[in-house]
Amino acid sequence: MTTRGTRHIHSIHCILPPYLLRSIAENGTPQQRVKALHTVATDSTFRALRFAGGRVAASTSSVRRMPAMMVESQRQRSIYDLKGEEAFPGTLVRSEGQGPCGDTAADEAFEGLGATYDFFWEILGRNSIDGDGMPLQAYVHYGRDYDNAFWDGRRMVFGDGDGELFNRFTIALDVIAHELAHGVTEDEGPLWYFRQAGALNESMSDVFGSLVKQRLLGQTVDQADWLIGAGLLAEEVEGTALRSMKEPGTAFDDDVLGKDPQPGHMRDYVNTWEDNGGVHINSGIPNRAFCLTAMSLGGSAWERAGRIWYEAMRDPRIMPDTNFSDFARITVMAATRLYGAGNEEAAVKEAWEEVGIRVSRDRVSIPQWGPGGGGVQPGA
Amino acid sequence: MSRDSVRIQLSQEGGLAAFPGLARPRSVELGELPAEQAEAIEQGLRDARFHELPSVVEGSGPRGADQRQYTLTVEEGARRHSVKLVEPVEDPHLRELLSLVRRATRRRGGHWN
Ligand SMILES: [Zn+2]
Repeated sequence: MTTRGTRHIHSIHCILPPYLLRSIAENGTPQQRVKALHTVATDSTFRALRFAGGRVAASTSSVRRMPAMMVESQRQRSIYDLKGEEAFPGTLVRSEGQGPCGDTAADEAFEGLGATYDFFWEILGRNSIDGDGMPLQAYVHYGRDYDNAFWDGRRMVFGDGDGELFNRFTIALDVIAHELAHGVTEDEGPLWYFRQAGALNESMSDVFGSLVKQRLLGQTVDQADWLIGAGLLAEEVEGTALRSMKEPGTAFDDDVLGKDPQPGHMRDYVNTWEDNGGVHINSGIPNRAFCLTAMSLGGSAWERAGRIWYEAMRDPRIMPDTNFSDFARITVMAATRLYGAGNEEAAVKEAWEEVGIRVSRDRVSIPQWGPGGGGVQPGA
Repeated sequence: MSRDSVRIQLSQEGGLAAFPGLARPRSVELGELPAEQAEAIEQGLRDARFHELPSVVEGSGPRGADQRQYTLTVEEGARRHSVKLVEPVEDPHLRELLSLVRRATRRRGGHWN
């Protein structure tokens, strides 16, 4: 995305008066909210324009994306069976409109992609990974005894687990949603998959992974377990999940796997070259900031906290090397933009402070999105 | 070249979660393995032209996330070659080699070493 590098971003967000967003968010019925969000804030269109400096040249993509805002749903899922190979393309075993195929992993992947698609569409007004109805492809039975799941830039891939340490990776809805959300983050932003930017990328996937699960189960912030991958660790393993967003570092402590290395505060930040600079380690810090925000706001985490994080993820000021404190500032600004200077803004700010990141008042009070303010974006 | 002098080391990082216990490098001497397994690995090294590979072998696809990276090192006396592989590994020979080495360096007697 070359336009991302441009320094003078004429933000089309200027045409969205904050009061409109606020009134939608506060006063609309859930249904109105969804509709309004579909037509107003979803806007891959706006984003495309925004990045093109407002030039009509962006019309190729806005025209392409326009129909996406009109339709109800463009869920298009395909599940492929790799039959133990680590090579593509495998065999198509279930596609949209078909009933269960009888293969547990394939059917779980199908349902999981559906729940995730529905979450992005119904809650955030986003039509699939690219905002334009991109077909979703999941590959199951990758490799033998394969203990992992990943996003390869186009598709989601799931192993069966070895049975001794891990169960099949489709067992946890939040893991499926985590992988799909990597596609969304990649489509939205230029975040490097390295150090703090990479940990933010990881954290976004955990946030949406958990939200998809919470929403499907109808859980409030107090009812949610805030775990990622509950049920994925095999029975003999000492542990409950891959990560805990609420209490990073407590998900497992096992002879073979070792101890959960996630910090939940900046003072415990782990400097390492491994794991792309600790992307799956330090993500505990922004994960906990999100959880604290949601807990403080109460109710359903996807409604306000999730919305704020999604807005932040789509903010054009996200750069390849955006770090935790940049992102903290962007989330506070997103809260202010969506809900005004109220509880939400305070909750976000306090949450970051609790994990050791201070967002100073003067740095967030700059009116980045005011009418007519489509000039140079500071901090870009 | 005597089989006993060939040592193979595999380390793994990345993946969906960070597990310190799985990140430890594991190694095996070909001489310690059953002859059949050792032969298969020797053949695998030849088929993959391991010693001619660059130090990093990545797929041609776009970015992605949660992929594992493996570092495979082969030492034969003074000769030592290390290759970092990012999955999914596209070359079938290399994939086969990785799978052989993974099996050989995996749990032995029920434990990871
Ligand atoms: Zn991930």
